[in-house]
Amino acid sequence: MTACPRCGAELTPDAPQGLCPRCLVQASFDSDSVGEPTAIAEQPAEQPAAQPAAYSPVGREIGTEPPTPAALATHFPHLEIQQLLGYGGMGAVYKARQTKLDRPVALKIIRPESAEDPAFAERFNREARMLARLNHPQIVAIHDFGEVTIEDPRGAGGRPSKLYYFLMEYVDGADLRKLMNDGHLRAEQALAVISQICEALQFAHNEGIVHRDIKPENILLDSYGRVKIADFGLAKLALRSDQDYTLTATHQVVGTLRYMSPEQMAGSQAVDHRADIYSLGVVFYEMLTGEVPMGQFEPPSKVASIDDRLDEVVMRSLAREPERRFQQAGEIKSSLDLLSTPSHSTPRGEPHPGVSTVMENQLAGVWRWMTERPAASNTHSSALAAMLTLVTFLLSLAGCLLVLMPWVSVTIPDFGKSYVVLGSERWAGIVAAWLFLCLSLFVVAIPRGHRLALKWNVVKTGLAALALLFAFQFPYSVEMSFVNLRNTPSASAAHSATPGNTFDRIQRNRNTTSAGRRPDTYMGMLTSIDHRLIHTHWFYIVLGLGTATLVSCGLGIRIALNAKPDTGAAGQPTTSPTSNLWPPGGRPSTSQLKPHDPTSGMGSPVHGVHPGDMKIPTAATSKSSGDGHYLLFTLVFFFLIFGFTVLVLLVVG
Amino acid sequence: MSIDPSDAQSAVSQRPFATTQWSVVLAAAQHPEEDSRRALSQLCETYWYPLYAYVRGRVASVHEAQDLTQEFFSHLLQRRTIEKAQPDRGRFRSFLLTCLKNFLNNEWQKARRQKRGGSQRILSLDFDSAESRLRLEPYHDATPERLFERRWVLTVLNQVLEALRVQLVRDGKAAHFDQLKNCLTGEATSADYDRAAEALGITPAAAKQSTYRLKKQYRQLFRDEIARTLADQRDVDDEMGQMLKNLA
Repeated sequence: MTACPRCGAELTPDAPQGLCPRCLVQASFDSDSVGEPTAIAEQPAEQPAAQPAAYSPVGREIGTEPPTPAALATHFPHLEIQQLLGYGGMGAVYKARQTKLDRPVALKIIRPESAEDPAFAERFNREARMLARLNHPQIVAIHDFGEVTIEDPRGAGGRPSKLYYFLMEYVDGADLRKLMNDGHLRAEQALAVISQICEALQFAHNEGIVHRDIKPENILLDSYGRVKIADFGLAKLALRSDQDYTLTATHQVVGTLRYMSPEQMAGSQAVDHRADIYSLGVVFYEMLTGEVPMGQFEPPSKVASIDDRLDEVVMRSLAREPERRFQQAGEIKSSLDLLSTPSHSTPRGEPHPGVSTVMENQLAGVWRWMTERPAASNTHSSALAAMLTLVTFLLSLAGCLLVLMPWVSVTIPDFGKSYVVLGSERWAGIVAAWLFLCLSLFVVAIPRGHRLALKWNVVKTGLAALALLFAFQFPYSVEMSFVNLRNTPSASAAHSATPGNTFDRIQRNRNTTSAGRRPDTYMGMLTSIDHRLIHTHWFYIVLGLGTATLVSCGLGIRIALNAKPDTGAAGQPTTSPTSNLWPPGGRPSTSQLKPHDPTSGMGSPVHGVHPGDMKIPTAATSKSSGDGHYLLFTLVFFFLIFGFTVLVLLVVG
Repeated sequence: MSIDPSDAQSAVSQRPFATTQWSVVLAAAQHPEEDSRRALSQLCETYWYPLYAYVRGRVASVHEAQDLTQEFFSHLLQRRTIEKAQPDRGRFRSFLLTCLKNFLNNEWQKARRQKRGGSQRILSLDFDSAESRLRLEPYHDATPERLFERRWVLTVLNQVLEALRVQLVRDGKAAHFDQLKNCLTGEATSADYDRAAEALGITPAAAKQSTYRLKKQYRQLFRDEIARTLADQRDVDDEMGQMLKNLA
């Protein structure tokens, strides 16, 4: 049994014409969208109003059709009504021109049936005034509203009825539905669109206005790539009566089931601005994956090749309970901004980027700096970053080598004089080296592109703390063998010398030496010391210092990088890290989403502009090479430290 | 289709009080006339399959089911059952199902007692195609009522698609229907349009245009078809919502 590619429902053999029944019924809901100049412009003679009469198979009439532009013209003397743009459940939209101001406008009239409720007029006025307050560059502006009286459209002899209308800003462009259908929407464009929608929504929500009907048909993009949200709050107007607010009581409600939040579907009265956030989530999902989330759906990164960090944003918006969603549209925007621009420093528990990724990018930067000197060293910032990376590298090296520092000293009494003997303990040294190794590995080896979520950093910090705690808590009880390095090690100087014997042996050995060798500090010559006398606190301090140095260097670099501005012009390789939104394993790119870029506009708006011409704000990507190089470099660095440490230990030991 | 004002006026006024087939039937319930009788027969002829399938689910033998179906329709058409108070007369669909259930529970017994063998054939029902269609259906373990609703939706869809096809054939665009019907169900990809355009010998842009128009025609036909079976125009959206639920 195959499945419908669109909705995932089972395609049974009895499906009509082989098409999915659900999708067919759903398709019958979709109303024509506003602002489709390409579709209508090429068919100037087409009168949507006249079509249905020809197609009724059984020859009976249906409802009302929108009036023709000419029919409306008499009622709007100050407008030149040009053409019908579309009509749907709510009403009809026309393109018009305000003659006095000589500007294009959109005239939206509401279906008379929707307006039959006697309380409608009052609701309409209230709603229109609220909408007029929404003065925002990304919300379609309301210029005027009111009602006109027309003769009964249902036949002669009827009472005249009122036709309610809105006069709105005309958006020359296309709606999001059309862009999605034409396949012109890339993932970073989707981010930019969503970001703009969030701004607009936050503004409206602050004014106390909920859209209730966010869907791609209501999201318009003009030729400059600016988002404009239309039909704010109009869904409420279509209610026949407030008591009758059920799923099926409104024309509008039924048509947008897919984008409706669960609480709206249930007909709950407790619908607030978070319903818009849900609808936004649906739109976002659809933009990224091309499908509408239905039933049990997969996170977007599993359906399309996009960064899995976006999953969290999308899935949270789509939470069933409003409490679990983002509570403000602005939160979505900040989350998205964080993912795309590294210039955000991280306050208030926002996700910290991982130290490892930082290190990797720094190493990559260094490599590039070293190998592509002419190109890469043009800017101050890359040189600075390279320097910092080198410093980190050296300090890490030093930290690993700290195990070799004499951290044990023993005072040996000898005829009333005491000798201070410094040395290192082999096993403790190896353990410490391993700890450093693991920490370095931990820091360096986490792959790039990994989600820089807060919990990862918490885990890493926790593990580092555990490692340190382990070092502090685990007691070293090491078997000691005292080896006399002056004379050949005798069999008696083998293992498990009792504490009491240690000094005897020393003394004895000392006594047997001749040639009056003066007692001195033997650096690095003793390999084992009486464990009672190990100055363990030195060991721990050294270990702790080394770790702290390592970690703070990495973080310091990160903070330094966050503080400085991005240098992300296209074509200039930068070393800015972590803006990897697109498939991991790809090149690192700097995504800079500049939502408002009117300078890149298209000039005068042209009738029938194609979506491909639109300047949707895109990311500026930087070139980088040497993915494989830097990985190699990392491994080399890793093994160098390791080998060096072990080698030294072996030599000394 | 010029924009003549008088034309526009008459176009608008061409829509008097909207009547549907079912509302005609209901209105004439008290005094069935030719028109209403014909309207009812037409409705029954379109939507008999879900009924028959329901009966087949309730009754053991195929032969008995066929007899029963025919009996039911003659009962419906002749005996003025419509004028009796029924709970949900707003929709033909639910009315039909309720009637059928009543008939199965009560009337069938009486009818069986009254006439044995050879029921009157009021409607010509193609039982063979219904049987083959039943065999196509996947196995369900839903209730008969749910199956009935589901089949109803499918019947509507078939009807609408057929009407659409007929329409296109009449316009000389039969090939358009075959190529573009897959694009009806929403977001078709550019590849789909390219394929269709190639098959039809037109540009992809023209294919998109045609699809757009096809969708509009389809939507209109769909709404019209739904409205046939409703007493009140304004329930169309509601009914459509119901249909979507019934498919779930």
